[in-house]
Amino acid sequence: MKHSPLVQRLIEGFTVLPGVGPRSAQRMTYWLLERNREGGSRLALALEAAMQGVKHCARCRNFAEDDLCPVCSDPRRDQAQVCIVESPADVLAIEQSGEYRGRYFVLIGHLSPIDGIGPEEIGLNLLERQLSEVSELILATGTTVEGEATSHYIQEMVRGTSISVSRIAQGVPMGGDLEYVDGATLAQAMKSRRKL
Amino acid sequence: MATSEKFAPFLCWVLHRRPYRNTSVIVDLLSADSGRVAAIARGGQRQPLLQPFRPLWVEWRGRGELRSLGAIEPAGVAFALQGEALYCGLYLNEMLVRLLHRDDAHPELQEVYAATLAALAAKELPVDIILRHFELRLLDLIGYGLSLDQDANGQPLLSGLRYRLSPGQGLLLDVSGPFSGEILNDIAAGHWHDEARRLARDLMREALSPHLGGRPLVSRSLFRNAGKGAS
Ligand SMILES: [Zn+2]
Repeated sequence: MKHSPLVQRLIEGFTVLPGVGPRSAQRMTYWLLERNREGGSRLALALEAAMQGVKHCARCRNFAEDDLCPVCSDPRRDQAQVCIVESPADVLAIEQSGEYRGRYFVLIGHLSPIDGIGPEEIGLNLLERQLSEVSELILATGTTVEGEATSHYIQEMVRGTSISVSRIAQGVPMGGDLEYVDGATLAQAMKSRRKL
Repeated sequence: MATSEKFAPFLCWVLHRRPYRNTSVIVDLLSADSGRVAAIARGGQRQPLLQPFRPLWVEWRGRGELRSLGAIEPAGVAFALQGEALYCGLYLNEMLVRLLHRDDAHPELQEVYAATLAALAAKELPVDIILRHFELRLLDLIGYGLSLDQDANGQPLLSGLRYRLSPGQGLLLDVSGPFSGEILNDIAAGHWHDEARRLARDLMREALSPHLGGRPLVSRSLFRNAGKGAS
């Protein structure tokens, strides 16, 4: 069956979401039209407002609705301690752990030369201009080849300054059985073992 | 029926991965028999293995533009490239993806590539010299070999003279050319002093540029603090 144009457009719209294929998109569309038009209208307004109103923090590139994000404008956070992550989702994960009191710098990606993504594309020139106000950098980029290259690039950038740099520990997950951990992770965990 | 055709495992290196749809990835592989091959790994396959700098046994189906990945197994341990050597690895991969046409096989290239990674991991030589060797071999293998011990007319390079690079031809005598005959001879003889390393970098940049479609390699921007300018 062919959908009418407006219905078809909405179905296609839903497929931009991760994990949503044509079938789920069709289910969502029908559900909204049949059972929750009011909710659907609210969703439409919220989407439009967020897409227009959510920008990037001028300081850390995280999502922000003002010039600065809530973390960067919070005087109780240590603004000289900066944790470098690849995505806003990483910020959320670290915030939820509740352990960290510094601020962030969000690369929104990692170095990936083949894809045309060099240092400027991930905001490292912006970070470099902020270094005079930074006393500690914590590198929390991914454990992929690209994440490692990014981490190394930033280490080189601060070499010769008094900024202390660390890389978050990588290894065996909490509650994980050793036998299910893959070889590369285990090797890394061995390498970064600590003395007790 | 071509799409259901299954091929026995090939030794491959991952040059590039990019996410496709939600859970799949498209990889560019360097194989010996088929050259650079694009293949899709669908969600749930063992994607953690699909990392650069690690030899893999890979099965694929199909022959077309985009093959479908089957079983993947490690064919050895990954080269632990760190720091500048890691940038060099990314540089090699970017160069191969930009330079090689899909399914254009250069059987020896895979071996040269693996040997280059091994040299980078072992830090046998300064990284820029390792890269220059690779670039020369690569040009040679894809049919644009550049001779460093004679000019385009087959004459030996002379110490007191200067040369320029003519794309597709080779080195030509030119009184105002950028390259000194003396240093070119040093390079051909393997005397890699600082000036030779700088000249080799500039020369190879010029030699590669027509094959890179005018856009510079982005990996070059990583070598910000490299003394000799590795790329
Ligand atoms: Zn911020």
